[in-house]
Amino acid sequence: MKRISGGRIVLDVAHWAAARSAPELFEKNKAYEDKELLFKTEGIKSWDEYVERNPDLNSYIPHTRVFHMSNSTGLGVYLDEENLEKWGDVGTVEGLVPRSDFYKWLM
Amino acid sequence: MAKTLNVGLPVMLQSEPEIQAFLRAKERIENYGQSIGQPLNVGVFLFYLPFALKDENRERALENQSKYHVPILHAQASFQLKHNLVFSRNQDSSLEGRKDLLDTVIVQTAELKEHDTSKFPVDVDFNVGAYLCRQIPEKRPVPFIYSIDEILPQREEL
Repeated sequence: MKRISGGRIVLDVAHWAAARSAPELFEKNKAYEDKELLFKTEGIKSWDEYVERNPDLNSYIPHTRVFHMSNSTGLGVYLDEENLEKWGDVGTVEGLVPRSDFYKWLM
Repeated sequence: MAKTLNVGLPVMLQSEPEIQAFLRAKERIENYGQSIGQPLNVGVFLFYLPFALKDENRERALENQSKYHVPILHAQASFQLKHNLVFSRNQDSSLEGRKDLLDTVIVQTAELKEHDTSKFPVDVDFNVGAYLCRQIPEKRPVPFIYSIDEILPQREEL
């Protein structure tokens, strides 16, 4: 990212948080096929390597021009009940952009 | 003194209540930064969903910006078809003389920036349009979804 952005990274903080929560959630949910896919995609063999490639937020500061922070519901992807239990619930916070507006704007 | 961090919040500038919500959030976040000794500069992250690029919404966004002068930190378009890494022939708008939406995004951002007193230089980016999926339907609905076997040999190029 540093190389191709020329020091002008715009980091989506929610994406970073999701990436950092992957090891815990994948293991907790026994999502082994998804884990294999993730490791193959990143060309790694362990969660240690994964964490090394997805460092803490402070590591991004010198290379990041803007930190993008969106409301907790992001782009309006809502999970069904079973998946909410497994992968976490964002609650009922609507944030700056209400859920109904997202659906309208995506049309 | 800690380095000032720029924080971009998504705002649909065609919607006045959103701008007002943004201004309240900006004040709250910047005050929080001050309270912890971390200077924060909060501005607008423009996200051009297709709805935002309709003529009437572009005009409304410009009207609102000429009134509120909010600082714009970054602009992002969604999929931009022929500018993506992957697109199909029928998505190339230039073949049928259709408008190039990336041009529209750049022009709109420049016009909005004229009313922004912050002078913060803005980049425009867009979704590169390459997705990896574990299961791909036999008839692929969109061209930009790859299986793992397809993407691995091309990972570096992509």
